[in-house]
Amino acid sequence: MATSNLRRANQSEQSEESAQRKDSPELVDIVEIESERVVPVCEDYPFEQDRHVGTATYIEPSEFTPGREIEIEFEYRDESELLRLELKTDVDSVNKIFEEIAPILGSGLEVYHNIHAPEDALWDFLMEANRILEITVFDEGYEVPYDDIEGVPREDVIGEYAIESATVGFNHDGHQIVVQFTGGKLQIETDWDAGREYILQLFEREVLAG
Amino acid sequence: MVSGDPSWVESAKIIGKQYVSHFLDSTTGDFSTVIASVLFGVSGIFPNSGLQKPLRIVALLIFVLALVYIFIDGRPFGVDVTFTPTHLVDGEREPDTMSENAGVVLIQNEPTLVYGTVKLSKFTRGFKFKFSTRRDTRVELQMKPRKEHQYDPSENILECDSPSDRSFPVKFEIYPVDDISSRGRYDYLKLKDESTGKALLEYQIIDASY
Repeated sequence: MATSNLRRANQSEQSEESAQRKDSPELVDIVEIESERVVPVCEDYPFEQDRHVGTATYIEPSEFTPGREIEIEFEYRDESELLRLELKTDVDSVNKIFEEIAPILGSGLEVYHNIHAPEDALWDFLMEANRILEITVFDEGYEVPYDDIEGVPREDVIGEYAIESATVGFNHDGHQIVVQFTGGKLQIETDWDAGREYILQLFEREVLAG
Repeated sequence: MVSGDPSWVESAKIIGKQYVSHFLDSTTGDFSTVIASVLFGVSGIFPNSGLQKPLRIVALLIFVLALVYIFIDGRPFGVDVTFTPTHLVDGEREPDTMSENAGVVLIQNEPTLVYGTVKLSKFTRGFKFKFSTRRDTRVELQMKPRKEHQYDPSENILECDSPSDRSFPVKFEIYPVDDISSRGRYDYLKLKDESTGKALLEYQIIDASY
């Protein structure tokens, strides 16, 4: 099962420094990169943007071996500033791959470590789901199920507490989509080809449009 | 626990507690109390002279001026922030209480996630917080706490002019900037109130990664 790692990426002054540091990728071999207009597949989609999709081979450095080759897929959506990296295997450092991809997508593009989405908007996204399978929140630094916080009713937890991880299910046009969110990682499980795009657009609408 | 805005009484308690604490920690508070007490005592030695009243006025004036100075010096009052560094124990996130008690954020091989809560009194209009580290590590919010907040990741400033939600969670990551061979092991984390320039919280960062 592939995992989408989500980051916020935009042009910033700080990125000039990053651009000077690295002009071209050393560990990523780009196979192809294409740009196209995003066609809305969810209602009230707020962005009019292009997406730049690429596939590449990443050579994961290793101390004792020549390193292994990993196929990666990445996508940058330029208005929502969402950078997505699709990985089918675990890697030592996702940050390293993002650093390698950034100069390919545009000179001076700063890739942050997180998406900086509003916590209450993430709750809105999760509440759009047809089924909530699991949501854990932070309570005094501990992971606790959102409906198991002592002395606090579930309604007071929703929208208020910081989310650690969540697994929810969506039904759309007869398709089942299971979405898992953990600290900036989105795992989408569906038998529907357009399911990933539908969830990404829903995520952009509910979480990133604010 | 982040649920619920503080009431007016709670807000007054937060401010009162912080003010008294700052007064007791301040040398101005100690000196003004001693000098005002001495002057008041001396004024009692001359009950029928014209000195008694002026001495008592001067004592009162010194004490009131000290209270005002301590208020200006100790601002902002009414902003209650707590941070708890966390770590993974058998795959579950838990507070790193030993680090917290020592005032330290320990970086191991993953970015360290620090969980916190912010409570703003009803007397506090808005806020502008700057997260900073010195040079070897970087701090970045994982999520923006609320839709109404603005977060500039390049400056690391979280702000809101008129918050409707006065109690919210904050979680941020601390991670090393460069390779271990080119960076130091010690840094500091500071949360500063930009309007007064005062540090609301300070932590030492120890990088124990390899």
